[in-house]
Amino acid sequence: MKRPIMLSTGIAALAGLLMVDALPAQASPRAFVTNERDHTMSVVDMNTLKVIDTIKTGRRPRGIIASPDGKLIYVCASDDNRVEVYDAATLKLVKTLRSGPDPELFVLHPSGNPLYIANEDDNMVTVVNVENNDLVAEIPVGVEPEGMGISPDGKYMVNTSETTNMAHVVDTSNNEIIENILVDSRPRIAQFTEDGKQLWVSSEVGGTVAVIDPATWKIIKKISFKIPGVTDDAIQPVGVRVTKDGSKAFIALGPANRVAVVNAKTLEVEKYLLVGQRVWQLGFTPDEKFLLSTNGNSNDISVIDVANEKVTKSVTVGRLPWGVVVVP
Amino acid sequence: MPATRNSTPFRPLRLAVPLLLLSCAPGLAAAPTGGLWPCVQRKVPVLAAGQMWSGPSIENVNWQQDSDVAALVPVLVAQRTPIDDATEQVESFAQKAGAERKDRLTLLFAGVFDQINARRSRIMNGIERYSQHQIELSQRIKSESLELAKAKKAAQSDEDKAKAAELEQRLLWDTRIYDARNQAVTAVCESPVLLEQRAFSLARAIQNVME
Repeated sequence: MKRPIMLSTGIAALAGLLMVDALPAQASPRAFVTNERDHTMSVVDMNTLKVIDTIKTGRRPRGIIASPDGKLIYVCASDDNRVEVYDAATLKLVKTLRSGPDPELFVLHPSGNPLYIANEDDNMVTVVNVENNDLVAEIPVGVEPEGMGISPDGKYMVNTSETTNMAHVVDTSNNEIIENILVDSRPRIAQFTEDGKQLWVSSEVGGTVAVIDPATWKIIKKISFKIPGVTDDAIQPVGVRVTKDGSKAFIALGPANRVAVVNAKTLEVEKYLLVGQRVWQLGFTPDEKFLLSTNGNSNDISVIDVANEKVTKSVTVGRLPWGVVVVP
Repeated sequence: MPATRNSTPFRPLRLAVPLLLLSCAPGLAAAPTGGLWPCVQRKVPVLAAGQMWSGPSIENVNWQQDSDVAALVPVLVAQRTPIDDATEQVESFAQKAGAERKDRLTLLFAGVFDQINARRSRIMNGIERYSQHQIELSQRIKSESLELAKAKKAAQSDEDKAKAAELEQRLLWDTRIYDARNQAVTAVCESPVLLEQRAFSLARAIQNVME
């Protein structure tokens, strides 16, 4: 009698081993969140919504993006004046890149190279070749450059400058500024729609989001926000994300602790979702079923069900979560 | 920043300061506006319910009338209650709340919001008075050091010298007190932030059991 039991145990153990082996093949998407005050990056499994690892980064990690294939994670280590590149699978630091002083936000060319980095301290955008760390160019822009966006065809790079209150459009073929668009006070984020037909720019102090037509570089509409029970000065638009199909946009409203859901066709605000304290940046999962928001003061991220426009969960990460990116 | 905060030798004093501020706060006298606010955090005099609550309006609700709510609010608000315990208590309140569950949970939030806001205002007034005392102390240190310089220069007899030494001691003490208090400002300024975080966490816990 004993033998068959042992045998079946053996089979079960073997099956268990095989299952463990098979797990990575299910490949659950992972979110990477920079924690500005902890100098770390939290890794969240998007199936279980649990923090599976916390990686020590350079000091004051803020901007975070992924390579187009999702294999590399780029992090701005603002106080160490460098960009760190991590392997998204092994979570190991692969290399560091030059960044210019105080890098905050950056954007990769859609081809995956070069990297455009805003240097808040010296009014420049630094362009770096991610393969060999060569300095490709330094583009002088407005005072306190911040938000970085790039058109899907890679032809235009847009930088916002906090103090000049402008979005500067740069032709990436010669790195020259071709247009300066005046927006409301302290522009933070520049985000092109997937079809390249619109550019959205959020203004933190102005409390608005400008939707710009890249054919003319004129503002089509300025979206403003009103939330019952919240004072206007607490409404500070920062993070902006638009779905690939161009139907919905989500705007993080800072200390209003809400994410606005905007109908991207009519440009009307439809809903305000209560997330966490001082909501800052946003990031979709690759399938766009979920949107994550980083909430700096409640030290967590909120998971938003995109189709149902509902907050489904919050996940505690490190202190002062700043940016987020999700890879397959 | 946080690393230096933990390593300073003034920790016991700092912990005591918020309590001190509370105990000596004379009600809700309007805080003088202007240059007294010593914190890097922007001064937001009162919290807005809309920043943490998307449920029914809490205007003109009398939460004290519901005796269960009135009993639970101080427990939830107290900082010694860990937030996980507070969340459990909210959940068990919701289970027993009966048919008017939604209304009673709204009352519960109204109570929590009310109490935390009041406590926060008292602390903020205290911070400004603290700042006022520091300004006065710095002025005293300035005049003491002038007096000392003068006394040292003029000191001839042993008696004069002893007097100058005494002045020097007093100046030293005042400077020490000033420095210790100044270092404590960072910790003191965290108190309103911590209270806002607590209000938000409790609001979230209550809203989670509203559906």
